[in-house]
Amino acid sequence: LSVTHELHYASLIEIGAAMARREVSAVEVTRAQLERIELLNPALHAYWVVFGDQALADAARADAELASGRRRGPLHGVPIAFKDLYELGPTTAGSALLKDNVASREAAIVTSLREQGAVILGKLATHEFALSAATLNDAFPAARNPWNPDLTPGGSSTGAGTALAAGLAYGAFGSDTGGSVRIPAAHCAVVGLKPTFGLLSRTGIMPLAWSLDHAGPMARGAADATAMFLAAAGHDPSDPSSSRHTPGFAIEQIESGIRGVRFGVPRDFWEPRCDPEIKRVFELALEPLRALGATIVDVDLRVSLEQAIAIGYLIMLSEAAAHHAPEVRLRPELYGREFRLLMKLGLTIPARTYLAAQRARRVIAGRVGAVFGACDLLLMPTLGLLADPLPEGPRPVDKRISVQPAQVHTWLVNLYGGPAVSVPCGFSGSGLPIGLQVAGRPFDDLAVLTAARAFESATDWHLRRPQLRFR
Amino acid sequence: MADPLEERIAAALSAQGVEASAGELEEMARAYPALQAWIGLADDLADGEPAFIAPLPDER
Repeated sequence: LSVTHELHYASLIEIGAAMARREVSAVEVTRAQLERIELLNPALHAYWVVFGDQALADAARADAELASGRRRGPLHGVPIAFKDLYELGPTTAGSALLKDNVASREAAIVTSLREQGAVILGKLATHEFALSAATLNDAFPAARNPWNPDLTPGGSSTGAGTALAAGLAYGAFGSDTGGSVRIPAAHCAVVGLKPTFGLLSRTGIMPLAWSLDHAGPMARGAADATAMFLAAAGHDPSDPSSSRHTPGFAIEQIESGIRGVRFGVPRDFWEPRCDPEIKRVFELALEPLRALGATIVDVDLRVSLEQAIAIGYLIMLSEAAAHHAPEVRLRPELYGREFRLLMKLGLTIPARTYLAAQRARRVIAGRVGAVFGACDLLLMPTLGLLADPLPEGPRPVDKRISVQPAQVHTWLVNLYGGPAVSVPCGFSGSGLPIGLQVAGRPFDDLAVLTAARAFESATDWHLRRPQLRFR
Repeated sequence: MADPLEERIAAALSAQGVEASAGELEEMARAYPALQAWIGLADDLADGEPAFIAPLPDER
């Protein structure tokens, strides 16, 4: 293996290719990952379950296949992990309600990745049912941000962000209802992709909100995230929202560059309440894109952050409350306080309001579509805030439901269903990662991934690693 | 329970077989003005939109 950096921070594609060349074995790589997890996980809590023996057995099988000349794809023999919302063995969704639950089936994406030869290391921490923020006093240990373990790694796919930033997996799958893949990607300086709605199966992933939920890959680079996306994509008849579209491109195509691409910056949407330090980093991030031949123009989206979050939350709370109503009625004490109160609030939202929110969503989608006449891709900071300290206990719900909601720029894309990626674009003065969000037209996943890869080619933010205190 | 807003929330939940403690009702009531503001934003945006058909890209 000709790597100049540590094995655990090698890229997924690089490590898979090294295995194919027989320069390193899947068993060696898996064992090294398991040893690093054993060393660091007690402090970082990225993993809630580690499938040590099974992972080594799967790695041995992958090696045997390679020895016989069979390579299933770029993920063959590569260790990855799944958010604990995916049905796969012990599956808790971060809730005491499911603390002893063992899934009776396997999520469709898990099966797809197994068939591609991936080695599954374990289950990763999540916010309770992908919603209420983790605290230091939860039933399950809160994942810590490797860049500063007093802070959240961002959620709800917390463990995925932590594991990738700490070199505890080569790739991970999370879920994204309003930003839960892109938020931890931004806070942990890794890459997170929310593909176009319908391109990744949701069968076997516990729902939060049916019309907003997406599966999404996370990795340390855009090419790695693309490899995971392409390995998982495909029509799934068991998922009624699964599209018959395929991604329609090969991984090599993301290297085609961005010369002539028009990026639109919707400042009316994200700028008014964005942290000034993040805004400064964002403006600097535009320069490499211009240098690569792209055009950057301001566009008027005519959607406010408050509108996007209000509409997203009304839909999410209504759908989530409908799903959880039976247990909220029967066993409310088993939910965490924040989640329980959010569900109860969701139950007070009338059907008329839910439908108004869905109609408003169409208006927002129409306004985004109109902007795509003037540009090819949208560009903005993924978040307008830095990572928060992990709280001691549950936050009051009026922190979450507020006329001044948190500066989370990701909800917009879940509302119109298009693809979006968060890629590292700099750091704050305090050393905390900042993410750049690129969003595209529905089914133009290739364009957002190409832009992310082009940005990486001109910068080294995605190669920065945290100084772990736990070595 | 004296607060009319808390009484309304309790009634809406009770109609669905869900109970809430006094502390929970107080906390939910604090979030309610923002929730109402959000509902107003949805109503304003939805105004004139003829129907909800499908919220997402769908080529089928």
